[in-house]
Amino acid sequence: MEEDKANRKIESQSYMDRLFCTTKERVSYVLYSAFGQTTLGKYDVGSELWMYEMYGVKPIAFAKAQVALGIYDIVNDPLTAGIIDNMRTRWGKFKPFQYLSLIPSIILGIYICMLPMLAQNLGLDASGRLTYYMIYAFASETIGAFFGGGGYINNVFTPNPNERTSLLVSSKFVGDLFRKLPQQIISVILDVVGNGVGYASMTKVFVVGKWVVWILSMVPTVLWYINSKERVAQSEKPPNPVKGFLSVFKNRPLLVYTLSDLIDGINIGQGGDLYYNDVLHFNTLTTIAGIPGSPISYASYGFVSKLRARLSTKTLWFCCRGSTFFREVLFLCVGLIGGKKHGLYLKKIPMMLAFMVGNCVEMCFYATNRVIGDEINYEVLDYCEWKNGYRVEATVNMMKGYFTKVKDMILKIINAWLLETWAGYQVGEGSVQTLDTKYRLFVTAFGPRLIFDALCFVPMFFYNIDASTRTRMYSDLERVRSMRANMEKAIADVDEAEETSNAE
Amino acid sequence: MADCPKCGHHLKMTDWRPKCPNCGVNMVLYDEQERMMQDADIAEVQYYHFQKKIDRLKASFAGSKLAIVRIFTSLLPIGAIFLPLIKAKVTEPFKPMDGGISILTIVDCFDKLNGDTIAGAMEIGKTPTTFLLVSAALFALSLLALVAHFLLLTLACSPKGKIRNTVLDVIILVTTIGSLIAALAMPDGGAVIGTVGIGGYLYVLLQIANVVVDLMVFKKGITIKHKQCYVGGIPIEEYFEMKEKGMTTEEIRPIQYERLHQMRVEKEERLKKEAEEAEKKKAEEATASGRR
Repeated sequence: MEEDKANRKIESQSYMDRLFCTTKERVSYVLYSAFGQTTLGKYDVGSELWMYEMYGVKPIAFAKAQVALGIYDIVNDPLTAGIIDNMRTRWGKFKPFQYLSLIPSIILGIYICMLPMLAQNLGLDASGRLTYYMIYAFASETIGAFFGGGGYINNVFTPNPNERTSLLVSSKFVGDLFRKLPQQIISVILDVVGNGVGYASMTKVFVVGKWVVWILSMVPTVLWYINSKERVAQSEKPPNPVKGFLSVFKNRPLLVYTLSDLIDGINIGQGGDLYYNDVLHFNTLTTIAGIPGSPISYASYGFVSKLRARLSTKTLWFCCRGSTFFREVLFLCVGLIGGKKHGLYLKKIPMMLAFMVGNCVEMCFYATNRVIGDEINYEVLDYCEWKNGYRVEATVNMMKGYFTKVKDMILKIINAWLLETWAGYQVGEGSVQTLDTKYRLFVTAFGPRLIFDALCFVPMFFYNIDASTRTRMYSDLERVRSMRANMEKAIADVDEAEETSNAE
Repeated sequence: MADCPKCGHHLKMTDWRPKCPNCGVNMVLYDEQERMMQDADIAEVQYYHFQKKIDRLKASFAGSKLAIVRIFTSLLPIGAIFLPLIKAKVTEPFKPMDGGISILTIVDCFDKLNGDTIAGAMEIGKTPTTFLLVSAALFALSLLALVAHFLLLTLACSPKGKIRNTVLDVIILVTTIGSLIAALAMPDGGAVIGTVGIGGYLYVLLQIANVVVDLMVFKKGITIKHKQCYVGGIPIEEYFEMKEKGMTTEEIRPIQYERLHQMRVEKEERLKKEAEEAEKKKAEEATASGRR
């Protein structure tokens, strides 16, 4: 028992170790987490293959347009973070945003599904296509910024961190059974179309595929929006915006994790998709080479809880990132054997084998990798509430996103220059690349990022939430939340009793 | 929440603020813990029923060593269809070929479908290919039954699981052996002349093995281990007994808080003990390395 400011005894009781989600909520959450982000992978909107090969936009023009989008994004982020973190309604902090985002998201989804076909029918040139795409990009950014707060409900739909973790693991497992399927089917079809078999064009294949995945992702999202509930109450008074902003800098685990993420995300050079498509002519390399690793990835789910119990979050993070780093180093080194003219990077079999071996090692930590990022995210937000007494989900994510966005804006220009000017990449369906371009494409795709992937390990040495800190944190949070809820009731009941006695 | 939890004032959509327009109480925080406990009471009972299904699903696949073997025997026959099912000489009206025919060859034929192949297929009734067609149809059925069998393994430990699996086993046996007999009985004068290939025999053997393992699993039985579920720290069986006795939520709630508190204390003591042991071990290791 503790006392409030008026010396009234307030009870704090254990309740957070219970399960709070009904079967409907659990199923909705698992389906939403598993399928809500289903995409066509490297063939989806915004990917290099889609932008430059399928849709037909020039890299430098696109990169310049993205700068304007990036500036708009940077300007609206603090505003929207302020709106979200100050939102207090009787339905909760995030619930209203879920409903507000539904209809605009549906309209935008239909638009993007039909966009390539629309561009083809209107006979748009590269700059016209860019304009139509940027309409989508700006609209998507606006909806995401002003109504995207609904996504934060994933942090607060249950106060029990163990329930949250177990649902997260289940949803990742279910998602992994089917998540890659749309991408795999589309890559096989596009490989067939690309080799001149069949009569369908890439555009038609994309439109049909995109409709399927969009419906597949939209239905569980709507279900989740209807069934989800907020169960971690926010502080009654919203935090002072400046205090909220500064609390982020006082949050050591958050700073450390953000820095590590930022360095890891410095991916100089375009991704491997253009290399697989234009150099190896083997879009399905990662799919086929990933087959031996596939059963390992499913089996790895059986070890998540055991690893979680034995190892700290930090150690698990190192294992996950280390396995990915090993795969990347192996792939690059094998590809460079033989030099530019006779390099193994031009040959399908050695590259496939190199990917296969690295992938098998990486898959041992696959399930943990799928979960650890979200776990750290939830932990740092709970840490913020523990230290400061209030939650600032939107501000925290805005800060994380800020650095990433500035970095991405700069990288887009560098990468576009590397692709178009340095490598001499030819855009458009059916384009042919020179040997020099192919070599540079390979090197830029897999080389420079390794430096930053190695550097990203350094900040995480300073991550300070270990097992005992975590236990103490959730124990204190439970006590404080319980007291806050009971205090409100006690005050209201006492006030009512006083009013009644005064009336008498 | 359509009414204020304190005063019962009916709320409109325009009453979006957290404070009740009538009594001024913060509706989100007022009695929040009791509402959470009520949510948890419903959720934990639902979880108990759902967990039973999950326990049965887990037992179906990993409840015994034979059940694990059954996963592989259910899938192995699919591997056999990639080997030559029939070694045959194919003449008009089909595309002429001579050699092993596996599933890949059949897929290739469909891939290269054109007017001639379709016209040839329509001539089927005029040539003695009845046994071939019967064999192919029974083979396709046995494959479908195999796939259905594998998918329905998820329900193998449910109340009707045994009957369901047994029926499928019978269908698999009848269609597989029937397909083999029809293939062996193919006459010489047809458009397809040949013998059953290694893939065909292997397929039959693996299907029989699949059925035998399935029957052995049922004979030995699988023990389903149900996870102990709780409702507010009270074992679910005890909770149901309390409800049957007519105990109200208000009477059960203090017991739940007491049990939850007890569970929390035990957990903290266990973690404290583990932390002390870990520190002791570290200190011993440090001393030992210092001495070295």
